[in-house]
Amino acid sequence: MWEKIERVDRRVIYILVLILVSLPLWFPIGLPIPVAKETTAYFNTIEALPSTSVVIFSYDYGPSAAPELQPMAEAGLFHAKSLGLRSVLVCFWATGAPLAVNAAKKVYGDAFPNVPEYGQDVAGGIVAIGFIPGGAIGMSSFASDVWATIGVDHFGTAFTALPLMSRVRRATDFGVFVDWMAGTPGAIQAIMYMHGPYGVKVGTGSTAVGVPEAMPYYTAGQLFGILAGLAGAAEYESLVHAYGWAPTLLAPMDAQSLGHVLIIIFVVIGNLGYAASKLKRGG
Amino acid sequence: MLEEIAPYLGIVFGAFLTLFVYTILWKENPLSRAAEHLFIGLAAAYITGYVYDAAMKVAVLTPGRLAEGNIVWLLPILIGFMYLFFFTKKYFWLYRFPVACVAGIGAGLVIVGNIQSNFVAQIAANVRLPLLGSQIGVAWFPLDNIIIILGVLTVLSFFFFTFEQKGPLGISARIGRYVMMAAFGSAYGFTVMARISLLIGRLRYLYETSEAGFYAYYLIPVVIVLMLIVAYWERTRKPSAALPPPTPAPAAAPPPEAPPAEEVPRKRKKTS
Repeated sequence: MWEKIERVDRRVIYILVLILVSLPLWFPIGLPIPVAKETTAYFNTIEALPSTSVVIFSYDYGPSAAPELQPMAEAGLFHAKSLGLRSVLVCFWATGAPLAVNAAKKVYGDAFPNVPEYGQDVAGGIVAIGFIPGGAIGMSSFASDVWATIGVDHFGTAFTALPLMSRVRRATDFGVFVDWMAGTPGAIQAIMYMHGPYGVKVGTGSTAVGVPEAMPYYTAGQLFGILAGLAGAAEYESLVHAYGWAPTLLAPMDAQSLGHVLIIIFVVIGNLGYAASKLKRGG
Repeated sequence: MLEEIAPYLGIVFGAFLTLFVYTILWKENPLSRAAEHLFIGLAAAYITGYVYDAAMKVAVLTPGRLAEGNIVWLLPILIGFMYLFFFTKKYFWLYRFPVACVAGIGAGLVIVGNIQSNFVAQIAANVRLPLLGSQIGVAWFPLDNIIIILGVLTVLSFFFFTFEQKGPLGISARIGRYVMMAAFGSAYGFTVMARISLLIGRLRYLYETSEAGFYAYYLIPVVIVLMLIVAYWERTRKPSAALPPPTPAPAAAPPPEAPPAEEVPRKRKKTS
Protein backbone atom coordinates (compact mmCIF):
# COMPACT_ATOMS: atom_id res chain seq x y z
CA MET A 1 0.00 0.00 0.00
CA TRP A 2 2.79 2.42 0.95
CA GLU A 3 4.46 1.89 -2.42
CA LYS A 4 1.20 2.84 -4.14
CA ILE A 5 0.94 5.96 -2.02
CA GLU A 6 4.55 6.81 -2.75
CA ARG A 7 3.83 6.61 -6.48
CA VAL A 8 0.55 8.52 -6.36
CA ASP A 9 -0.32 10.16 -9.67
CA ARG A 10 0.71 13.83 -9.56
CA ARG A 11 -2.66 14.75 -11.07
CA VAL A 12 -4.41 13.49 -7.94
CA ILE A 13 -2.38 16.02 -5.98
CA TYR A 14 -3.32 18.76 -8.46
CA ILE A 15 -7.02 17.99 -8.11
CA LEU A 16 -6.85 17.95 -4.31
CA VAL A 17 -4.89 21.23 -4.27
CA LEU A 18 -7.42 22.80 -6.64
CA ILE A 19 -10.34 21.68 -4.47
CA LEU A 20 -8.78 22.75 -1.17
CA VAL A 21 -7.56 26.10 -2.49
CA SER A 22 -10.74 27.06 -4.33
CA LEU A 23 -13.25 26.08 -1.63
CA PRO A 24 -12.25 28.77 0.94
CA LEU A 25 -12.61 31.45 -1.73
CA TRP A 26 -16.28 30.49 -1.91
CA PHE A 27 -16.72 29.70 1.76
CA PRO A 28 -14.15 31.60 3.90
CA ILE A 29 -13.21 29.95 7.18
CA GLY A 30 -11.80 32.99 8.97
CA LEU A 31 -8.55 31.54 10.26
CA PRO A 32 -6.56 33.97 12.45
CA ILE A 33 -3.68 35.92 10.88
CA PRO A 34 -0.90 36.45 13.45
CA VAL A 35 1.44 39.31 12.52
CA ALA A 36 5.14 38.51 12.04
CA LYS A 37 7.78 40.74 13.63
CA GLU A 38 9.17 41.68 10.19
CA THR A 39 5.74 43.00 9.19
CA THR A 40 5.36 44.91 12.45
CA ALA A 41 8.83 46.40 11.97
CA TYR A 42 7.85 47.61 8.48
CA PHE A 43 4.59 49.09 9.74
CA ASN A 44 6.20 50.81 12.72
CA THR A 45 8.96 52.37 10.60
CA ILE A 46 6.41 53.90 8.22
CA GLU A 47 4.36 55.09 11.19
CA ALA A 48 7.41 56.80 12.72
CA LEU A 49 8.23 58.88 9.64
CA PRO A 50 7.78 62.66 9.88
CA SER A 51 4.58 63.65 8.09
CA THR A 52 6.43 65.62 5.38
CA SER A 53 8.64 62.67 4.42
CA VAL A 54 8.81 61.37 0.88
CA VAL A 55 8.38 57.61 0.48
CA ILE A 56 9.74 56.11 -2.72
CA PHE A 57 7.75 53.03 -3.77
CA SER A 58 9.51 50.93 -6.37
CA TYR A 59 7.25 48.52 -8.27
CA ASP A 60 9.79 45.95 -9.39
CA TYR A 61 7.59 43.10 -10.48
CA GLY A 62 5.34 41.99 -13.28
CA PRO A 63 1.88 40.48 -13.64
CA SER A 64 3.18 37.03 -12.68
CA ALA A 65 4.03 38.27 -9.17
CA ALA A 66 1.04 40.62 -8.91
CA PRO A 67 -1.17 38.18 -6.94
CA GLU A 68 1.38 38.31 -4.13
CA LEU A 69 2.65 41.88 -4.37
CA GLN A 70 -0.22 44.00 -5.67
CA PRO A 71 -2.29 43.77 -2.44
CA MET A 72 0.64 44.91 -0.28
CA ALA A 73 1.62 47.58 -2.82
CA GLU A 74 -1.90 49.02 -2.68
CA ALA A 75 -2.12 48.80 1.10
CA GLY A 76 1.35 50.38 1.41
CA LEU A 77 0.35 53.34 -0.74
CA PHE A 78 -2.90 53.72 1.20
CA HIS A 79 -0.96 53.63 4.49
CA ALA A 80 1.39 56.38 3.29
CA LYS A 81 -1.49 58.52 2.07
CA SER A 82 -3.37 58.06 5.34
CA LEU A 83 -0.33 59.31 7.27
CA GLY A 84 -0.04 62.35 4.99
CA LEU A 85 3.27 61.16 3.58
CA ARG A 86 4.33 62.07 0.03
CA SER A 87 4.67 59.12 -2.33
CA VAL A 88 6.80 58.81 -5.44
CA LEU A 89 6.13 55.74 -7.58
CA VAL A 90 8.96 54.42 -9.68
CA CYS A 91 9.88 51.09 -11.23
CA PHE A 92 12.99 49.47 -12.60
CA TRP A 93 11.01 46.71 -14.29
CA ALA A 94 9.15 47.75 -17.43
CA THR A 95 6.18 45.64 -16.36
CA GLY A 96 5.84 47.50 -13.08
CA ALA A 97 4.66 50.85 -14.43
CA PRO A 98 1.03 49.94 -15.22
CA LEU A 99 0.79 48.04 -11.93
CA ALA A 100 1.96 51.16 -10.09
CA VAL A 101 -0.71 53.22 -11.86
CA ASN A 102 -3.33 50.56 -11.02
CA ALA A 103 -2.34 50.74 -7.34
CA ALA A 104 -2.57 54.53 -7.41
CA LYS A 105 -6.01 54.34 -9.05
CA LYS A 106 -7.17 51.96 -6.34
CA VAL A 107 -6.02 54.36 -3.60
CA TYR A 108 -6.57 57.79 -5.21
CA GLY A 109 -9.53 56.90 -7.41
CA ASP A 110 -10.03 56.14 -11.08
CA ALA A 111 -9.41 59.79 -11.98
CA PHE A 112 -5.71 59.38 -11.13
CA PRO A 113 -3.51 61.25 -12.12
CA ASN A 114 -6.16 63.99 -12.34
CA VAL A 115 -6.42 64.29 -8.56
CA PRO A 116 -5.61 67.37 -6.45
CA GLU A 117 -2.65 65.69 -4.76
CA TYR A 118 -0.86 64.78 -7.98
CA GLY A 119 2.54 66.44 -8.18
CA GLN A 120 1.81 68.64 -5.16
CA ASP A 121 3.92 68.90 -2.02
CA VAL A 122 0.89 68.44 0.22
CA ALA A 123 -0.31 65.72 2.60
CA GLY A 124 -0.82 62.63 0.45
CA GLY A 125 1.01 64.20 -2.49
CA ILE A 126 2.01 61.74 -5.18
CA VAL A 127 4.05 61.50 -8.38
CA ALA A 128 4.29 58.49 -10.68
CA ILE A 129 7.69 58.61 -12.37
CA GLY A 130 7.19 55.27 -14.08
CA PHE A 131 9.79 53.05 -15.65
CA ILE A 132 13.50 53.88 -15.49
CA PRO A 133 15.58 51.71 -17.83
CA GLY A 134 18.97 50.25 -17.01
CA GLY A 135 18.15 47.83 -14.19
CA ALA A 136 20.61 48.12 -11.31
CA ILE A 137 22.59 50.79 -13.19
CA GLY A 138 19.39 52.84 -13.50
CA MET A 139 18.75 52.36 -9.79
CA SER A 140 22.24 53.55 -8.91
CA SER A 141 21.85 56.58 -11.17
CA PHE A 142 18.44 57.34 -9.66
CA ALA A 143 19.99 57.31 -6.18
CA SER A 144 22.83 59.66 -7.08
CA ASP A 145 20.78 62.16 -9.12
CA VAL A 146 17.06 61.72 -9.74
CA TRP A 147 16.67 64.66 -12.09
CA ALA A 148 19.68 63.69 -14.20
CA THR A 149 18.35 60.15 -14.55
CA ILE A 150 14.92 61.15 -15.84
CA GLY A 151 13.19 64.51 -16.00
CA VAL A 152 9.58 63.62 -16.85
CA ASP A 153 6.97 61.53 -15.09
CA HIS A 154 5.02 58.53 -16.39
CA PHE A 155 2.58 60.81 -18.17
CA GLY A 156 5.22 63.01 -19.82
CA THR A 157 4.99 65.97 -17.43
CA ALA A 158 8.33 67.66 -16.73
CA PHE A 159 9.53 67.52 -13.10
CA THR A 160 9.78 71.31 -13.19
CA ALA A 161 5.95 71.39 -13.32
CA LEU A 162 5.62 69.04 -10.33
CA PRO A 163 6.33 70.89 -7.03
CA LEU A 164 6.78 67.65 -5.10
CA MET A 165 9.75 66.65 -7.27
CA SER A 166 11.66 69.75 -6.21
CA ARG A 167 12.19 67.93 -2.88
CA VAL A 168 13.28 64.70 -4.53
CA ARG A 169 16.69 65.20 -6.10
CA ARG A 170 18.93 62.50 -4.65
CA ALA A 171 18.80 59.50 -2.32
CA THR A 172 19.41 61.59 0.80
CA ASP A 173 16.02 63.23 0.15
CA PHE A 174 14.18 59.92 0.44
CA GLY A 175 12.40 59.31 3.74
CA VAL A 176 12.46 55.58 3.01
CA PHE A 177 12.76 53.46 -0.10
CA VAL A 178 10.26 50.60 -0.34
CA ASP A 179 10.83 47.97 -2.99
CA TRP A 180 8.03 45.62 -3.98
CA MET A 181 10.35 43.05 -5.43
CA ALA A 182 10.10 39.90 -7.46
CA GLY A 183 13.74 39.56 -8.48
CA THR A 184 16.60 41.65 -9.82
CA PRO A 185 16.77 44.62 -9.60
CA GLY A 186 14.98 44.72 -6.30
CA ALA A 187 15.53 45.41 -2.63
CA ILE A 188 18.97 43.77 -2.61
CA GLN A 189 20.17 46.23 -5.26
CA ALA A 190 18.51 49.06 -3.34
CA ILE A 191 20.58 48.04 -0.31
CA MET A 192 23.71 48.09 -2.45
CA TYR A 193 23.08 51.45 -4.14
CA MET A 194 20.96 53.37 -1.62
CA HIS A 195 21.42 52.00 1.89
CA GLY A 196 25.15 51.38 1.55
CA PRO A 197 26.36 54.64 -0.01
CA TYR A 198 23.63 57.05 1.22
CA GLY A 199 22.22 55.42 4.35
CA VAL A 200 18.66 55.36 2.98
CA LYS A 201 16.33 53.11 4.97
CA VAL A 202 15.20 50.31 2.67
CA GLY A 203 12.17 48.10 3.23
CA THR A 204 10.64 45.46 1.04
CA GLY A 205 7.57 43.51 0.22
CA SER A 206 8.85 40.39 -1.46
CA THR A 207 7.44 37.39 -3.22
CA ALA A 208 7.69 34.39 -0.93
CA VAL A 209 10.44 32.94 -3.12
CA GLY A 210 12.62 36.00 -2.44
CA VAL A 211 12.17 36.03 1.33
CA PRO A 212 15.01 33.59 2.24
CA GLU A 213 17.36 35.81 0.21
CA ALA A 214 16.13 38.99 1.88
CA MET A 215 16.02 37.71 5.46
CA PRO A 216 19.78 38.02 6.25
CA TYR A 217 19.59 41.71 5.32
CA TYR A 218 16.77 42.20 7.80
CA THR A 219 18.78 40.45 10.53
CA ALA A 220 21.75 42.67 9.69
CA GLY A 221 19.62 45.82 9.93
CA GLN A 222 19.99 46.64 6.23
CA LEU A 223 16.24 46.18 5.69
CA PHE A 224 13.88 47.86 8.14
CA GLY A 225 11.09 45.39 7.44
CA ILE A 226 9.89 42.62 5.16
CA LEU A 227 6.38 41.80 4.02
CA ALA A 228 6.77 38.12 3.16
CA GLY A 229 4.62 37.10 0.24
CA LEU A 230 0.85 36.79 0.41
CA ALA A 231 1.00 36.08 4.15
CA GLY A 232 2.97 39.28 4.75
CA ALA A 233 0.49 41.21 2.66
CA ALA A 234 -2.42 39.81 4.68
CA GLU A 235 -0.67 40.68 7.95
CA TYR A 236 0.05 44.20 6.73
CA GLU A 237 -3.54 44.64 5.55
CA SER A 238 -4.75 43.68 9.02
CA LEU A 239 -2.54 46.45 10.49
CA VAL A 240 -3.55 49.09 7.92
CA HIS A 241 -7.19 48.14 8.53
CA ALA A 242 -7.04 50.62 11.43
CA TYR A 243 -6.94 53.43 8.83
CA GLY A 244 -9.99 52.11 7.00
CA TRP A 245 -8.33 49.78 4.51
CA ALA A 246 -10.67 46.94 3.61
CA PRO A 247 -8.69 43.67 3.83
CA THR A 248 -8.79 41.69 0.61
CA LEU A 249 -6.81 38.64 1.66
CA LEU A 250 -8.83 36.98 4.43
CA ALA A 251 -10.30 34.27 2.21
CA PRO A 252 -7.09 33.82 0.18
CA MET A 253 -5.14 33.24 3.39
CA ASP A 254 -7.60 30.49 4.34
CA ALA A 255 -6.92 28.95 0.94
CA GLN A 256 -3.18 29.34 1.47
CA SER A 257 -3.31 27.65 4.87
CA LEU A 258 -5.36 24.71 3.59
CA GLY A 259 -3.00 24.34 0.63
CA HIS A 260 -0.04 24.21 3.00
CA VAL A 261 -1.73 21.61 5.20
CA LEU A 262 -2.28 19.42 2.15
CA ILE A 263 1.33 19.76 1.02
CA ILE A 264 2.54 18.87 4.54
CA ILE A 265 0.30 15.79 4.57
CA PHE A 266 1.66 14.70 1.20
CA VAL A 267 5.27 15.29 2.26
CA VAL A 268 4.70 13.16 5.38
CA ILE A 269 2.87 10.40 3.48
CA GLY A 270 5.50 10.40 0.73
CA ASN A 271 8.31 10.03 3.23
CA LEU A 272 6.47 7.32 5.17
CA GLY A 273 5.96 5.46 1.88
CA TYR A 274 9.61 5.87 1.03
CA ALA A 275 10.69 4.60 4.46
CA ALA A 276 8.25 1.67 4.32
CA SER A 277 9.38 0.57 0.86
CA LYS A 278 13.01 0.90 1.92
CA LEU A 279 12.37 -1.28 4.97
CA LYS A 280 10.58 -3.83 2.79
CA ARG A 281 13.58 -4.00 0.49
CA GLY A 282 15.77 -4.41 3.56
CA GLY A 283 17.62 -1.15 2.91
CA MET B 1 -19.97 49.16 -29.58
CA LEU B 2 -16.48 47.62 -29.53
CA GLU B 3 -15.43 49.94 -26.70
CA GLU B 4 -18.38 48.75 -24.62
CA ILE B 5 -17.69 45.07 -25.00
CA ALA B 6 -13.87 45.33 -24.92
CA PRO B 7 -13.56 44.98 -21.12
CA TYR B 8 -15.84 41.93 -21.14
CA LEU B 9 -13.91 40.41 -24.02
CA GLY B 10 -10.71 40.94 -22.06
CA ILE B 11 -12.14 39.19 -19.01
CA VAL B 12 -13.49 36.24 -21.01
CA PHE B 13 -10.22 35.98 -22.93
CA GLY B 14 -8.21 36.12 -19.70
CA ALA B 15 -10.38 33.47 -18.06
CA PHE B 16 -10.00 31.05 -20.95
CA LEU B 17 -6.25 31.69 -21.22
CA THR B 18 -5.92 30.93 -17.50
CA LEU B 19 -7.61 27.58 -17.99
CA PHE B 20 -5.57 26.90 -21.14
CA VAL B 21 -2.30 27.48 -19.29
CA TYR B 22 -3.27 25.21 -16.41
CA THR B 23 -4.08 22.35 -18.79
CA ILE B 24 -0.32 21.75 -19.03
CA LEU B 25 -0.54 20.20 -15.57
CA TRP B 26 -2.40 17.34 -17.23
CA LYS B 27 -0.12 16.96 -20.22
CA GLU B 28 1.47 18.95 -23.02
CA ASN B 29 -1.28 20.08 -25.39
CA PRO B 30 -1.99 22.65 -28.13
CA LEU B 31 -4.09 24.87 -25.86
CA SER B 32 -1.33 25.43 -23.31
CA ARG B 33 1.23 25.90 -26.06
CA ALA B 34 -0.96 28.47 -27.81
CA ALA B 35 -1.35 30.40 -24.55
CA GLU B 36 2.41 30.28 -23.93
CA HIS B 37 3.27 31.51 -27.41
CA LEU B 38 0.70 34.28 -27.18
CA PHE B 39 2.21 35.38 -23.87
CA ILE B 40 5.77 35.38 -25.21
CA GLY B 41 4.80 37.40 -28.28
CA LEU B 42 2.78 39.92 -26.30
CA ALA B 43 5.48 40.27 -23.64
CA ALA B 44 8.18 40.88 -26.25
CA ALA B 45 6.10 43.54 -27.97
CA TYR B 46 5.13 45.13 -24.67
CA ILE B 47 8.70 45.31 -23.36
CA THR B 48 9.95 46.72 -26.65
CA GLY B 49 7.34 49.46 -26.61
CA TYR B 50 7.91 50.31 -22.97
CA VAL B 51 11.68 50.44 -23.24
CA TYR B 52 11.42 52.64 -26.34
CA ASP B 53 9.11 54.98 -24.47
CA ALA B 54 11.46 55.12 -21.48
CA ALA B 55 14.49 55.76 -23.69
CA MET B 56 12.63 58.62 -25.37
CA LYS B 57 11.82 60.13 -21.97
CA VAL B 58 15.40 59.81 -20.71
CA ALA B 59 17.31 60.90 -23.82
CA VAL B 60 14.89 63.17 -25.65
CA LEU B 61 12.05 64.58 -23.54
CA THR B 62 13.90 65.28 -20.28
CA PRO B 63 14.66 69.03 -20.15
CA GLY B 64 18.12 69.92 -21.46
CA ARG B 65 18.45 66.90 -23.74
CA LEU B 66 17.92 66.10 -27.40
CA ALA B 67 14.58 67.89 -27.68
CA GLU B 68 16.37 71.08 -26.65
CA GLY B 69 19.27 70.55 -29.04
CA ASN B 70 21.77 68.86 -26.71
CA ILE B 71 23.27 66.51 -29.28
CA VAL B 72 25.58 64.81 -26.75
CA TRP B 73 22.60 62.57 -26.03
CA LEU B 74 22.88 61.15 -29.52
CA LEU B 75 25.94 59.28 -28.32
CA PRO B 76 24.19 56.81 -25.96
CA ILE B 77 21.45 56.32 -28.55
CA LEU B 78 24.01 55.45 -31.22
CA ILE B 79 25.84 53.10 -28.83
CA GLY B 80 22.49 51.49 -28.08
CA PHE B 81 21.75 50.98 -31.77
CA MET B 82 25.06 49.13 -32.09
CA TYR B 83 23.34 46.21 -30.36
CA LEU B 84 21.60 45.59 -33.68
CA PHE B 85 24.90 44.54 -35.26
CA PHE B 86 24.39 41.28 -33.38
CA PHE B 87 22.31 40.22 -36.37
CA THR B 88 25.06 40.75 -38.99
CA LYS B 89 28.06 38.53 -39.57
CA LYS B 90 30.21 41.22 -41.14
CA TYR B 91 29.82 43.89 -38.44
CA PHE B 92 29.22 41.64 -35.46
CA TRP B 93 32.35 43.05 -33.82
CA LEU B 94 30.60 46.43 -33.43
CA TYR B 95 28.05 44.73 -31.17
CA ARG B 96 30.82 44.27 -28.61
CA PHE B 97 31.06 48.00 -27.85
CA PRO B 98 27.67 48.43 -26.13
CA VAL B 99 28.17 45.07 -24.39
CA ALA B 100 31.58 46.24 -23.15
CA CYS B 101 30.05 49.50 -21.87
CA VAL B 102 27.28 47.73 -19.96
CA ALA B 103 29.62 45.00 -18.65
CA GLY B 104 32.20 47.53 -17.51
CA ILE B 105 29.76 49.84 -15.74
CA GLY B 106 27.84 46.90 -14.29
CA ALA B 107 30.96 45.17 -13.00
CA GLY B 108 32.23 48.37 -11.38
CA LEU B 109 28.92 49.00 -9.65
CA VAL B 110 28.42 45.41 -8.54
CA ILE B 111 31.93 45.02 -7.14
CA VAL B 112 31.66 48.14 -5.02
CA GLY B 113 28.08 47.47 -3.93
CA ASN B 114 28.68 43.81 -3.20
CA ILE B 115 31.79 44.34 -1.10
CA GLN B 116 30.12 47.08 0.89
CA SER B 117 26.63 45.65 1.39
CA ASN B 118 26.91 41.90 0.98
CA PHE B 119 30.35 41.28 2.45
CA VAL B 120 31.55 43.90 4.94
CA ALA B 121 28.12 44.85 6.27
CA GLN B 122 27.05 41.20 6.68
CA ILE B 123 30.25 40.28 8.52
CA ALA B 124 29.96 43.34 10.74
CA ALA B 125 26.33 42.49 11.51
CA ASN B 126 27.29 38.96 12.51
CA VAL B 127 30.15 40.18 14.69
CA ARG B 128 27.82 42.62 16.45
CA LEU B 129 25.21 39.98 17.31
CA PRO B 130 25.06 39.77 21.13
CA LEU B 131 25.47 36.30 22.59
CA LEU B 132 23.97 37.41 25.89
CA GLY B 133 20.99 39.68 26.29
CA SER B 134 21.22 42.98 28.08
CA GLN B 135 18.34 42.30 30.43
CA ILE B 136 16.99 39.43 32.48
CA GLY B 137 13.72 38.23 31.04
CA VAL B 138 12.61 37.39 27.56
CA ALA B 139 15.71 38.76 25.87
CA TRP B 140 18.39 37.46 28.22
CA PHE B 141 19.17 34.40 26.13
CA PRO B 142 19.12 35.38 22.44
CA LEU B 143 18.73 31.91 20.94
CA ASP B 144 18.24 33.35 17.44
CA ASN B 145 21.64 35.00 17.54
CA ILE B 146 23.37 31.87 18.79
CA ILE B 147 21.80 29.81 16.00
CA ILE B 148 22.84 32.41 13.41
CA ILE B 149 26.45 32.52 14.61
CA LEU B 150 26.73 28.73 14.89
CA GLY B 151 25.14 28.40 11.46
CA VAL B 152 27.59 30.82 9.86
CA LEU B 153 30.62 29.16 11.42
CA THR B 154 29.61 25.58 10.66
CA VAL B 155 28.59 26.34 7.06
CA LEU B 156 31.90 28.14 6.52
CA SER B 157 33.70 25.08 7.87
CA PHE B 158 31.81 22.91 5.35
CA PHE B 159 33.47 24.89 2.55
CA PHE B 160 36.92 24.70 4.17
CA PHE B 161 38.87 22.25 2.04
CA THR B 162 42.47 22.92 3.09
CA PHE B 163 42.40 20.04 5.57
CA GLU B 164 40.61 16.73 5.45
CA GLN B 165 37.19 17.05 7.04
CA LYS B 166 37.54 14.71 10.01
CA GLY B 167 37.61 15.13 13.77
CA PRO B 168 36.20 18.46 15.05
CA LEU B 169 36.29 19.94 11.53
CA GLY B 170 34.30 16.97 10.23
CA ILE B 171 31.67 17.37 12.98
CA SER B 172 31.42 21.09 12.28
CA ALA B 173 31.14 20.48 8.53
CA ARG B 174 28.40 17.91 9.11
CA ILE B 175 26.45 20.36 11.28
CA GLY B 176 26.99 22.95 8.54
CA ARG B 177 25.48 20.55 6.05
CA TYR B 178 22.41 20.12 8.26
CA VAL B 179 22.12 23.90 8.58
CA MET B 180 22.17 24.24 4.81
CA MET B 181 19.57 21.49 4.48
CA ALA B 182 17.36 23.41 6.90
CA ALA B 183 17.86 26.54 4.77
CA PHE B 184 16.92 24.61 1.62
CA GLY B 185 13.83 23.30 3.38
CA SER B 186 12.88 26.83 4.35
CA ALA B 187 13.38 27.99 0.77
CA TYR B 188 11.22 25.09 -0.46
CA GLY B 189 8.48 26.06 2.01
CA PHE B 190 8.50 29.64 0.76
CA THR B 191 8.42 28.36 -2.83
CA VAL B 192 5.33 26.28 -2.09
CA MET B 193 3.75 29.35 -0.52
CA ALA B 194 4.57 31.43 -3.59
CA ARG B 195 3.18 28.90 -6.04
CA ILE B 196 -0.06 28.48 -4.11
CA SER B 197 -0.31 32.27 -3.94
CA LEU B 198 -0.13 32.41 -7.72
CA LEU B 199 -2.86 29.78 -8.00
CA ILE B 200 -4.97 31.79 -5.56
CA GLY B 201 -4.34 34.88 -7.68
CA ARG B 202 -5.70 33.23 -10.80
CA LEU B 203 -8.65 31.72 -8.91
CA ARG B 204 -9.47 35.17 -7.53
CA TYR B 205 -9.34 36.51 -11.07
CA LEU B 206 -11.80 33.86 -12.19
CA TYR B 207 -13.95 34.61 -9.15
CA GLU B 208 -13.96 38.33 -9.97
CA THR B 209 -15.12 37.68 -13.53
CA SER B 210 -18.56 37.25 -12.02
CA GLU B 211 -18.62 41.04 -11.61
CA ALA B 212 -18.64 41.27 -15.39
CA GLY B 213 -21.36 38.67 -15.67
CA PHE B 214 -19.02 35.88 -16.74
CA TYR B 215 -18.99 33.19 -14.12
CA ALA B 216 -15.68 31.58 -15.02
CA TYR B 217 -15.15 30.51 -11.43
CA TYR B 218 -17.92 28.00 -11.78
CA LEU B 219 -15.93 26.28 -14.50
CA ILE B 220 -13.60 24.93 -11.79
CA PRO B 221 -15.92 22.11 -10.62
CA VAL B 222 -16.52 21.30 -14.29
CA VAL B 223 -12.76 21.14 -14.84
CA ILE B 224 -12.32 18.88 -11.79
CA VAL B 225 -15.04 16.48 -12.97
CA LEU B 226 -13.56 16.42 -16.49
CA MET B 227 -10.11 15.67 -15.07
CA LEU B 228 -11.51 12.78 -13.02
CA ILE B 229 -13.35 11.36 -16.04
CA VAL B 230 -10.24 11.55 -18.23
CA ALA B 231 -8.12 10.02 -15.48
CA TYR B 232 -10.60 7.14 -15.10
CA TRP B 233 -10.74 6.67 -18.88
CA GLU B 234 -6.95 6.62 -19.16
CA ARG B 235 -6.67 4.02 -16.42
CA THR B 236 -9.37 1.70 -17.72
CA ARG B 237 -8.94 1.87 -21.50
CA LYS B 238 -7.69 -1.23 -23.27
CA PRO B 239 -3.93 -1.54 -23.71
CA SER B 240 -4.40 -1.81 -27.50
CA ALA B 241 -5.77 1.72 -27.61
CA ALA B 242 -2.91 3.04 -25.59
CA LEU B 243 0.68 3.51 -26.61
CA PRO B 244 2.67 0.26 -26.93
CA PRO B 245 4.18 -0.71 -23.59
CA PRO B 246 7.94 -0.37 -23.27
CA THR B 247 9.80 -3.49 -24.32
CA PRO B 248 11.51 -5.14 -21.35
CA ALA B 249 15.28 -5.15 -21.51
CA PRO B 250 16.90 -8.53 -22.23
CA ALA B 251 18.14 -10.43 -19.21
CA ALA B 252 21.72 -10.42 -20.40
CA ALA B 253 22.91 -8.09 -23.10
CA PRO B 254 25.09 -9.74 -25.75
CA PRO B 255 28.72 -8.69 -25.71
CA PRO B 256 29.21 -5.66 -27.95
CA GLU B 257 31.01 -6.19 -31.17
CA ALA B 258 34.40 -4.62 -31.39
CA PRO B 259 34.00 -1.41 -33.36
CA PRO B 260 36.24 -0.68 -36.31
CA ALA B 261 39.34 1.18 -35.22
CA GLU B 262 38.50 4.32 -37.23
CA GLU B 263 34.92 4.62 -35.96
CA VAL B 264 33.91 6.19 -32.67
CA PRO B 265 31.67 3.72 -30.84
CA ARG B 266 28.19 5.09 -30.09
CA LYS B 267 25.97 3.68 -27.42
CA ARG B 268 22.51 2.97 -28.77
CA LYS B 269 19.52 2.08 -26.71
CA LYS B 270 18.31 -1.39 -27.51
CA THR B 271 14.74 -1.45 -28.72
CA SER B 272 14.30 -5.18 -29.12
